[in-house]
Amino acid sequence: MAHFSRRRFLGVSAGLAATWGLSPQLMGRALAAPETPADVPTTLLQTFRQSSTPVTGQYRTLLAGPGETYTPRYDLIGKKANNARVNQRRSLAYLGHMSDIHIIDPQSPARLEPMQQMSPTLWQGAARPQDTMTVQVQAQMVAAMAAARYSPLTGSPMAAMFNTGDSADMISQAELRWYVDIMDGKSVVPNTGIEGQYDGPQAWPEADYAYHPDDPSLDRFGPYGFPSIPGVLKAAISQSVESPGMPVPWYAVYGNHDAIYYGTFPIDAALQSLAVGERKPAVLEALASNYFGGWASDPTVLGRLQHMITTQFGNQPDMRSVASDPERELFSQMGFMEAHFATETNPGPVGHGFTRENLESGKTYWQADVGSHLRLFGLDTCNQVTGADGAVPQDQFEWLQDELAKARDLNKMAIVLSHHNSFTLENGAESVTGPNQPLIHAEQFIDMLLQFPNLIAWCNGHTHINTINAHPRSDGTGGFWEITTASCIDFPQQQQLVEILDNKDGTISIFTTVLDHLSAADWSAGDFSQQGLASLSRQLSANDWVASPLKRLGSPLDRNTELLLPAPFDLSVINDADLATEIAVRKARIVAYEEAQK
Amino acid sequence: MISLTTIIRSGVMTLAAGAMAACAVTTQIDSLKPVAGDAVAALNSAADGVLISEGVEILVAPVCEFSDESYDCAGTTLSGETINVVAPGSDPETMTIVVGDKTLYDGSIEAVLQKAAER
Repeated sequence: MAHFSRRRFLGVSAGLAATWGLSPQLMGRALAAPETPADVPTTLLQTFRQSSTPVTGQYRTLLAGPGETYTPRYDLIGKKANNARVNQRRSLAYLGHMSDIHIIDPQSPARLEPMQQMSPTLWQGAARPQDTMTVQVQAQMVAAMAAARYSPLTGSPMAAMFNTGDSADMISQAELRWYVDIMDGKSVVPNTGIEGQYDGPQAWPEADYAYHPDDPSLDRFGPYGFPSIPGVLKAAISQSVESPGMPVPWYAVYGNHDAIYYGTFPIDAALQSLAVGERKPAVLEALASNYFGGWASDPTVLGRLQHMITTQFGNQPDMRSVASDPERELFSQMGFMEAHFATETNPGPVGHGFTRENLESGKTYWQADVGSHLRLFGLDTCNQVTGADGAVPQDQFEWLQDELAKARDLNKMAIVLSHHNSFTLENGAESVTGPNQPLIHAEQFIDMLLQFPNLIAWCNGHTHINTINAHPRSDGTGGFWEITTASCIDFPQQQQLVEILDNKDGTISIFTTVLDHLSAADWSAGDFSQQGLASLSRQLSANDWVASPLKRLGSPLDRNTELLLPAPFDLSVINDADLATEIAVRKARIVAYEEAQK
Repeated sequence: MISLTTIIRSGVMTLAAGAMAACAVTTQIDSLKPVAGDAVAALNSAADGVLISEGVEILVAPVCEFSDESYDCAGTTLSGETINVVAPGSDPETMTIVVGDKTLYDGSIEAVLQKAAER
């Protein structure tokens, strides 16, 4: 706190101690501690790499590899950066970025696993070998974020975390609840149906499209070399998953999997009925004749009702009887927002970006300030009609344009958050029943963003691939960085830390640091602990050839990077003492979090 | 007994028919495609990986565009040389990387990704 007078330091310290109910001495010591790079487990220290040779068939284990240093990127400044920046820069904001968590209830009857029989690559994600372990992975990723609560680069305290969508996988209430609870630091037993019993395709012999860890010789994963791990399914759905909770306020936007079924299809009555019913299709024949047959054959209410009854009570072949569970109900568009209000006030914020005004108006986008000079804009780029990819509706586009101008006039940097990225913002599906509004696609959206020098980054997800792209202005006056983080479901199961630094030379740097979830590189056979299952999930995902895992790592230009760009405005308006106060507030929150963990 | 081919055909047909019955607009059918961008992401990852591993100092990382049945990616080095990456096909398996007038790599994309992922 070098920028405080002794009097101001004591005042700030005492005020924050009172706010968090901590002793002034403890708070004083914490605030007085110098900010030095935190020794935290990130990919700066260690990466995960595949073994160079398969252990069985084509199956490879994972091993610890060397850390990866920051790679500077100069695309937006047109020259090599000034070396003096390293000794004079100051941290403006340190943030976490999660995306594509894909919490899965693997026993829900309303899943599309049998579509893998039709085409594994076309229906990528309908069934993955690691489907039963998503809650363990999220919890260990939250643990990694918590461990990185101080920056590995500067020691600055984390200010906020944002999650760019696909939090649930199949719009199940159970999935949504588990995701929010793990963020909030609650315990979750990731099971529906009968307590302590896995009942799904990974245990059904006729479902040869799925990985059967009890006996992989039953399926196509066995010949590939996937291991036999008896008991793992039961362990994954029986044991309570513990989470330390996010140490900082966290924000969320919609992903396509939070908006429509499988992130692609509209919901109908037959599907709703299937979700909470007692029958689950085990193979493609049953799925096609029951769900898609009914959906396609008759759009009238009576036709759908008849189909719903057939689905619920019929005896078509290859429909398995399963225990029903009302927690599997499919949630609505509004339901996603509402779940973010059933949350802890600390770290909050209640709504996680969404406000009461959102609930009343039905608007699914928001803005929130992180300190005095950074504003986040959370968009909903999901198409409510059909299709995995997205677009920006006209009303959001105009709203964002207006709000970016206001932020510019207030000397606020801006980060836009959305689920879809610039490769996947081309969905033009419209409803014939309307009302429709024009859908803005990537080129027009980027052109609009480039009008605003205060817009420094667009953070997103969707493709499950680490990707960073520069979007330059045509006149050479900078631009913005598009930062796409990977996912918690597909390999490499990585998320990201983002830190904004003022280089005090007319440029800023955005540092990105890739984060692995806290679990061992090499899974030890028989380790069914929470960390062990997270580790196993990563290993299985690295071998899931259907998902083309290797390309998802990105290159060094997409991972640990220093992204330079011209300062968005005269940054001397950010007073050192005011910035120190903001950092003290962030640090106090983390001190309170640490005390609560003891 | 219904054959798998029949099931697949009926699945596709009913899927398409369902979308058309519900809305009868081609935009909906168009949008029922898998997540976009995978091919270019793989190409970018592999090309950038080669450039970094070969010690090329990059000023502007290659930006790829698809035209005339191939991906063409252009960037520049800090010393002002051009970086060109060409990869044939919409889902390319090979690429050629040229920096200035020197061919840096000509071969498999998958091989680069595999090597980068291994310890």
